[in-house]
Amino acid sequence: MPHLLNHLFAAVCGQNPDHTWAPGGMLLPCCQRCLGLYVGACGAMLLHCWLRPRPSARFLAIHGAFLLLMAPFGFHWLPQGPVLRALTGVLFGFGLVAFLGLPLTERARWTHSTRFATYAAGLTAMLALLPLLAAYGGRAAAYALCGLATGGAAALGALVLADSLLALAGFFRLVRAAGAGLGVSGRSARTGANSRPPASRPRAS
Amino acid sequence: MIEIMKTQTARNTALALVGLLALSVYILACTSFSPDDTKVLYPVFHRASGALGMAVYDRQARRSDLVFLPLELEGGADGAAAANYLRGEWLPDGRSLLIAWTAAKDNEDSLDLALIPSGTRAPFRLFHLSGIKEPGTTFLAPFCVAGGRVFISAGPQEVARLDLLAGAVVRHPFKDAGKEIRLFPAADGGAFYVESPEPPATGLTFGRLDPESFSRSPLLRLTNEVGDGAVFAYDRDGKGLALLEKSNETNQLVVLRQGHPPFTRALDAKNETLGFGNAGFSFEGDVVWATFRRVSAGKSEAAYGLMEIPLNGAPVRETLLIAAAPAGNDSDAAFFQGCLSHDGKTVAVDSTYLACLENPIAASDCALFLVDLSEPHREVTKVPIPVPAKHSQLK
Repeated sequence: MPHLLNHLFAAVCGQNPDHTWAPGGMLLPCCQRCLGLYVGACGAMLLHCWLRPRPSARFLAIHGAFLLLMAPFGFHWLPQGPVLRALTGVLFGFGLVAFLGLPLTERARWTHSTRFATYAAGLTAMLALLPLLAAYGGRAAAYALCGLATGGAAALGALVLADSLLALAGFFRLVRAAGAGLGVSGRSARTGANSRPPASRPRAS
Repeated sequence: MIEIMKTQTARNTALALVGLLALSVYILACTSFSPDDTKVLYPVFHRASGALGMAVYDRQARRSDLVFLPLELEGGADGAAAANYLRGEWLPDGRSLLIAWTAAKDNEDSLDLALIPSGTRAPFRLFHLSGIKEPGTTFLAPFCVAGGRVFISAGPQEVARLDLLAGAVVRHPFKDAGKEIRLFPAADGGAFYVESPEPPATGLTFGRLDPESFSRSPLLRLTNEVGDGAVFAYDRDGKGLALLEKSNETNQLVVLRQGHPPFTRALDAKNETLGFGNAGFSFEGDVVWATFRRVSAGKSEAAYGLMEIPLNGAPVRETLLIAAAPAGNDSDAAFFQGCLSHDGKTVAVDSTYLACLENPIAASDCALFLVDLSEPHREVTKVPIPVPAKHSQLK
């Protein structure tokens, strides 16, 4: 299974061994930053499904900042070690889930809550536990992290797919609406002064 | 209400697009920050001087560039370049090359290293390490680089740790190391060690070395006697150790894995002499690959190639790279070494040093061979290494 995950994550991660944790001697399938991203995304999905936080302006601004934070660290403008890489990944994961989930929660007409404190506690716990597990955990921690990363990757993939389908559905709706609009204006012309009711078909005797 | 909803929908759609863009940029950027197997570092001859240098072959551009050339001219009218042992490696971040060299016939116990930036703007660093006994052993195995520091064997029981950034050197004697201890790189950026006990004890111990404290944690122990010149390999996690050795005049592969019984497989065919350059595990850990030299009985020629030994008993696969080279000595196999790419799909082998031997290979056989392991018929890309009329020779 770890070898399969290595192959799968190779498509989205450079897997630099120097930037990869190996809890219990088992090299994880993705680098520290990607681990943070995918595990963070998994945690964010669970928190969103449980708490359904309201996407207020402040909530969105904070998560937008999480996305922007990746720029200076992802492009190595600032020095960083393993922990900082992972933490920026977690925050990025939370930002992605918050933004990518918006059209879906709107479509599903979720009843949002304001349990932001619980949400923040979940995020903080993730930020604290992930580096500890990855750096000092044993083999069990390695398997757990592999599972969470895979779950997070799948969650992000599902979000992207769902958004794409919604976008496609919206596009077809627009096309249909545009087409129907053209049809309505034609009928209006026929019901003008020169319109006649259609002649009835003669019946055979 | 409808207008508010439309505004919200537009906002949500726009923010979702932002999220999608951010994810796309991240995924595209992530894979370019790491060693990407598009370039191969290998030794070549410098046309003008005939000296050995290091070149980089770009697999996409199909082009080689000489990147490093240590010149040490011997005295005399000809001024031929003295032979150097050279070994180069990419650092894990893919942004620097680490190259070590020493004069082959130099009696000084010293080693020179160069840290050369690749694709980035950074200083070119040169290091000169003295007090390195038998510096030639440095070139038999990949450098052990862990956390920006390289570990060099300074003697049978001593290691020098050089900080490539600060230039600081720490020497550490292993007082209880037995006969010899050697260090090797781990895939996760750490270090492994192999320790041979003092005679009459036999066998060897393989384990993890803490790059900070030099403390050792044994992982696998082999108690049987290990033949001289044995070649060994370890897998990415350090849970498996493979040994290619001669036992009772027969070459065999011995594989030790934690939690599994030892696996042994004979490799010799009748009436032939088989020797190995170096070996490694495949990416999946189910095959041991090794560079080999074979001399059939009654023949005065040697064949060199790549051997793949499945650990499930399936037939051994050989890819012949040099069909007819001068027989030379059994120890010539050590000069024919390969390296597995990070994605496990290619083995790169060079025959440069075989052209420096007393009985050198033909100029047409001097090349960088890239063996594509993902292809069923093992396609080989041969990148010729031009051999000047006057060139370095190992004496």
